[in-house]
Amino acid sequence: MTHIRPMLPGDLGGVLEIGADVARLNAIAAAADGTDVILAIETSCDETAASVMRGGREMLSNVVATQVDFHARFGGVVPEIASRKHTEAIVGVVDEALSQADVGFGGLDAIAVTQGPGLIGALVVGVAYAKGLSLATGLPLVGVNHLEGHILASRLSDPELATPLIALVVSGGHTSLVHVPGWGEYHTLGSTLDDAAGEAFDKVAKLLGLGYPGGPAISRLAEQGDSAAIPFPRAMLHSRDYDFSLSGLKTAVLTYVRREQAAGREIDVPDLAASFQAALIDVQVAKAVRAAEEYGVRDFCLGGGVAANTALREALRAALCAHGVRLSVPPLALCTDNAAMIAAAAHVRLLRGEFLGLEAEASASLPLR
Amino acid sequence: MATTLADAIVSRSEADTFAAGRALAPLLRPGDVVALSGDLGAGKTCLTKGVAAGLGIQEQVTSPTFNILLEHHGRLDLYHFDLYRLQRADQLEDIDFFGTLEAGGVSIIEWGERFPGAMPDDHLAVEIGIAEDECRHFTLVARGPRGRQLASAWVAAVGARTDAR
Amino acid sequence: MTYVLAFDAATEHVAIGLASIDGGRRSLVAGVDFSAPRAALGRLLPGVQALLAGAGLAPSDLSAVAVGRGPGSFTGVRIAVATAKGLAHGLGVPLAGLGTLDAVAWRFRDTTGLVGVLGDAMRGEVYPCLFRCGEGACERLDEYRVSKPAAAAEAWAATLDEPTMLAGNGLLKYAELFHATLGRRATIAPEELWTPTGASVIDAAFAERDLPSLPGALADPRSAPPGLLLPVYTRLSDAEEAESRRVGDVPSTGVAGPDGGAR
Repeated sequence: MTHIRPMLPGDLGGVLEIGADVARLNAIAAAADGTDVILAIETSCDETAASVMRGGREMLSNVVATQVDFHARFGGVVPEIASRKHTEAIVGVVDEALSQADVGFGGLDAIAVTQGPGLIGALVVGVAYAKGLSLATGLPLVGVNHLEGHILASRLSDPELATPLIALVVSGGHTSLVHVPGWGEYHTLGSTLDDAAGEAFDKVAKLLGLGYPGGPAISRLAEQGDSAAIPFPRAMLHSRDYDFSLSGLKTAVLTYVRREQAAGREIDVPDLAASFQAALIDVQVAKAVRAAEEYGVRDFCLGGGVAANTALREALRAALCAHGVRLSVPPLALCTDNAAMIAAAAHVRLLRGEFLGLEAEASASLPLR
Repeated sequence: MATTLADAIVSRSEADTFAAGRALAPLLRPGDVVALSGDLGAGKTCLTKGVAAGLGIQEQVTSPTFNILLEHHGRLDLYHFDLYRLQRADQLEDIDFFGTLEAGGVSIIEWGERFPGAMPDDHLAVEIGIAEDECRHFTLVARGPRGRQLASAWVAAVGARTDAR
Repeated sequence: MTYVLAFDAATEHVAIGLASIDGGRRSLVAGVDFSAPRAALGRLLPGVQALLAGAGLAPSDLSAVAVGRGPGSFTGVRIAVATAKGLAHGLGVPLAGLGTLDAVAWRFRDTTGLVGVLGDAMRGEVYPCLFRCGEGACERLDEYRVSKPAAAAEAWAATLDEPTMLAGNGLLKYAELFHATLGRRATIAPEELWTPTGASVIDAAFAERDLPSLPGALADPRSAPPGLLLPVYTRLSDAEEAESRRVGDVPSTGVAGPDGGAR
């Protein structure tokens, strides 16, 4: 995915070109030495986030907007910093990440940014800002796929993690099974055909009046319930591909609730939560194990916000362990959307010499490859 | 002025819902807005999958709940919104809701009924009700001339029973 | 010699200008403008880079950046503002704002009289704004606001008692309406004058009276940090704020409706 900058009019264009090439070569060399310092920016959906990382592993800072004290940073008049207010928050978040890492722009080797997938109106802010920064500082720009970030998050907490591996990314917006033959190579084996896993949790929680987001509430209740109480469907469990379908499970829960209510029977919420969760987990685990077997990997990593679900982690760990495959799960702070994982992924792209030019666009449906 | 066609289309299965979406697709023109409402599991995303198939969209149409907006490219661009996660009308600006509606594609909006003031004057609203026998009843609420045109053409295309109130 | 860069991408038209200041004398070094519907993100910075290179300048030669804050297309404004924040932040220079409608009005700096700029606000609305231009300058007479086209036309018909030149991308949809309502008082400017140019974004940036202004930023760089600049948000009227509060109170609509309001 190397993008070559277009030739510029005028003699100085050539000089700038050479300057940009030198900066790229220097960044690649630093990455090869493991000394590269990358500033990563992530604005793919709700969170405005920035991180500074050395050598793809040493996290010098990891900041999300909702944690920054903007009043302290700017004093006086400060815009309201809420979800998706990327335009308002981005400079403050980057300043905070640089100051926590105790570096300035001059101490960086490259700038990285999430190019997709995500909400287009959110992605464009990060990409536009990062490109502006790149032109201003002369630092090379690296584009990262958000899902690639969730996969590389595992590597931050688990230096032993090695390719080839299979990764399962499960979050509010994604459910994807990915084969990673080598760092920087991604083959998506399958993904959800309808709802993401995190979304299914949230919607069933809502159905049961458990609030939003509802993943944690469901898993707490499920601990007290009988997971075999209600035989919910395991959609696509036996399909030969690696795709998932969770809409049918959500509808089955809805139908069950309506039927019980119509019959005047009280619903055992813990049983229902446990049965729903088991149906969801069974399919994820079965496909994960099959992929690990088929591709003969020894390592497997789980990423995304739903990795916080203990039952999923434990079921996956046990099933993979039985096949001699090791499961790696990052700490929760690195499972939810963050920029450290983008920096970790950018380090890999840097090693491979993959850069973005100033003409780069954001893509709401950027494929992982 | 809204024109309501109660239970204008009845779907007995997911395949029926998908087919209804497929029948709507060839009637759609740039700038058209269709709002979908109904309980979880009513088939809003399934109906959208049908529309996408009818527009010749190859890629998978998945739920936009987390992303809020997913774009697909076919005969026309399809902007698939889900406003479920938005809490206030001003957040519509953060996702460029109004600019996207006028960007020359077709917009399908789930949970648009949360922000009635934000819906364009002329659009078609589809309310999907779930009957006790699990059939889905589509009530069409047409606002504006284009909404009415779409509603009647769609009902004719599906060949369903109409019951104008 | 001091150099400043100004650009606007709040409409489907991108305009970039580069000016020099030598003592008290300001002059336009280079300018470019081009149509880029839904393509501002990909084309804005290559345009900036080419303009600088053509003038024999490097980004580090800039002392300040000014950007169109709108009102205009939300995505266009955000792309421009975020790009400008990245540039100014990375260069360590102040970031000033300029008005998108003002940048259109400055096309008429040598046309004596009233200029009415109509920005397309979408949703069947416009941003109407009056300017008094002539002798190389333009003065904005209105605050930015959003209005139904018919209401804006009638308001101007009721108050304007001199010939007025009309411009702006709102005319693509509403030229007929304003012509009919204002009659002979209104002259529709040729369409090539409805959009900003490199020269007019520079002019508008230097004329900007709202903070953070470019003259203020050059005089005191600390007065215009890149983090504080915001787009112009004219859309959220009182009525809409009331509506959003009301929506927040409505109970969920389905078996599993979303949370009604703020968590």
